[in-house]
Amino acid sequence: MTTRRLPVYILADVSGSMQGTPIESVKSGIRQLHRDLLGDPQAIESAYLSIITFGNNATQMVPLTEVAMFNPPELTASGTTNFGDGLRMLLESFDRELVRTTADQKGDWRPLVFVLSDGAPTDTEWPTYAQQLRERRPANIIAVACGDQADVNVLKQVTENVILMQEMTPDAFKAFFAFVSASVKQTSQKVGAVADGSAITLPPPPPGITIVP
Amino acid sequence: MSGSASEQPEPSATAASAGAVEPVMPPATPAPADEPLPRPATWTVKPPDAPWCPEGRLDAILARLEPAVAARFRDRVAHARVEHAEGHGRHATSEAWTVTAAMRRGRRHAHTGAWSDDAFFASLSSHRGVLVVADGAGSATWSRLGSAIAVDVAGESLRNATDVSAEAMHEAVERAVLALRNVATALEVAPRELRTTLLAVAWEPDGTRHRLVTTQVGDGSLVLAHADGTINRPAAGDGGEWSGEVHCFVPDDETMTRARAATVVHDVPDLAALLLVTDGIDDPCYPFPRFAGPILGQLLHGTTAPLTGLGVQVNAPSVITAADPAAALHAWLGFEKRGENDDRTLAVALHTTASHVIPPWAPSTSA
Repeated sequence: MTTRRLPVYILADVSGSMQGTPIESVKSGIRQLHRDLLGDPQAIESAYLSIITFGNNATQMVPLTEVAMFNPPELTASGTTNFGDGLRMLLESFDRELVRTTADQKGDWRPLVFVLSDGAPTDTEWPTYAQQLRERRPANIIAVACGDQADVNVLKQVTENVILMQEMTPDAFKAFFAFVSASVKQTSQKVGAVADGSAITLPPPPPGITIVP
Repeated sequence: MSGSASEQPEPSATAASAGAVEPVMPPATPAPADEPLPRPATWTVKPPDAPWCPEGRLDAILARLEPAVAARFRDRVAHARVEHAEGHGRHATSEAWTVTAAMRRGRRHAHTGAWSDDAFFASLSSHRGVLVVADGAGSATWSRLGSAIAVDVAGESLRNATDVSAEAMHEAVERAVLALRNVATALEVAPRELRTTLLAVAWEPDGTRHRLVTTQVGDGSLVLAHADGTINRPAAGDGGEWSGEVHCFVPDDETMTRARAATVVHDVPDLAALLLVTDGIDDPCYPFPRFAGPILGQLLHGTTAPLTGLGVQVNAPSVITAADPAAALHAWLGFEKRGENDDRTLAVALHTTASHVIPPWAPSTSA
């Protein structure tokens, strides 16, 4: 019997438009999330973090790693917005990393995914993967549209849980990662009762971030 | 402990001003990468801070329960600090049977000062035994009331039923559903806020045989152990591809459909033991039928080595022959396994033949 994990994936846009304050804010947000989770024994025992980025291509910067062993990655922003490759990498990571319940083994908890993007996809493949994620529901996905250039309608095709960060200020990113941390803690607290996959409840989003209906 | 964690730099409190403290860092980087990480937090134990039953709602709840149920509920509210915080146990014996049940609050709830969501009912007379366990859904606000009322109503219904039958079991579950819906009305919340699992068994001697009825709504496990060592799990638990996802709880609309499908009447020639557990035990001991024999072996004969899958277990003599079996079972429920920090409830019934037919568990016996 191995430990059942709460897998947490962060899928971050690192295209050229994220250069400067946005990418620095994402980096410090991930560090803040990590420090926060180190303060919660349930998260230390069950939450596992992975960071996937997409620019010209997608890269899994950190494979699914327990909180105590996690090292926040160095991120640089450049290139186009190959959103499709990011989604493809996410699905591939699910297949490679996650344990589903079988007759002999209890599976992981349903993964929690946070998608950050500030732009519109530059590739043409993304709708295929978005449809797979939306229809197969392999995860609870929360997508955040960063700034006024982000295409909310694209994110809506991945998940119904889309939130909007109007201004890409350091404070807005900080508030968003605090929301991520609260969501992970809440999900790992209530893991005994997440019914029917789609029905998770999340903490209220912080000020400056609104839920897109 | 929490005290040692707070000696470390406060990540969230200082993060905003860290840019000013270390001028080399741009303001967009509130938590410098080379700042030492806080020491990982460890478990603490806090008594529950909220009242067990919402204050100001007790009279409304009592008014909507049958008088006998209401009287027991009033008692339960008075003893909640004893029975629903750290946990408690019960033990009873008859000529042919021993029943022992205990609930232990999980580390997650202890750390955050929350109540246990589990509950159990145990009753034993010379002619009938009844065991019921329940686990309130973590996502439901008043699930601790749901599990407590469900075990009481279903347990008493089975205890007082004219016979041990499928009809008696259906009636017991139906009464629990009605009671929970009435309490939801009293609390002015949706019935889903009282969601709980429910596993129940009632049994009677029938000559040298036993007649039983069992049912299950939601996750957890209920198994029968026979004199030849075989374990029979009459109903599969409700679960899916991922951990912890239950499709139907009491008092959801589909409760009776699920309960009818899961109700089984058994006529058993060689019944040795019955074992009921909530998911706090069922999850670390998956698949449960494989663990049931070794667990019964430990409870009957003592723990001499940790059981594979249960993490850190303390050696202890037999739970059943202890001076206080309920307290000994509560202690047995304290095994420590990474990530498995839910409330734990176990109810066991042992026939007088059990200690002869169920062997001690030793590491060479594969789990």
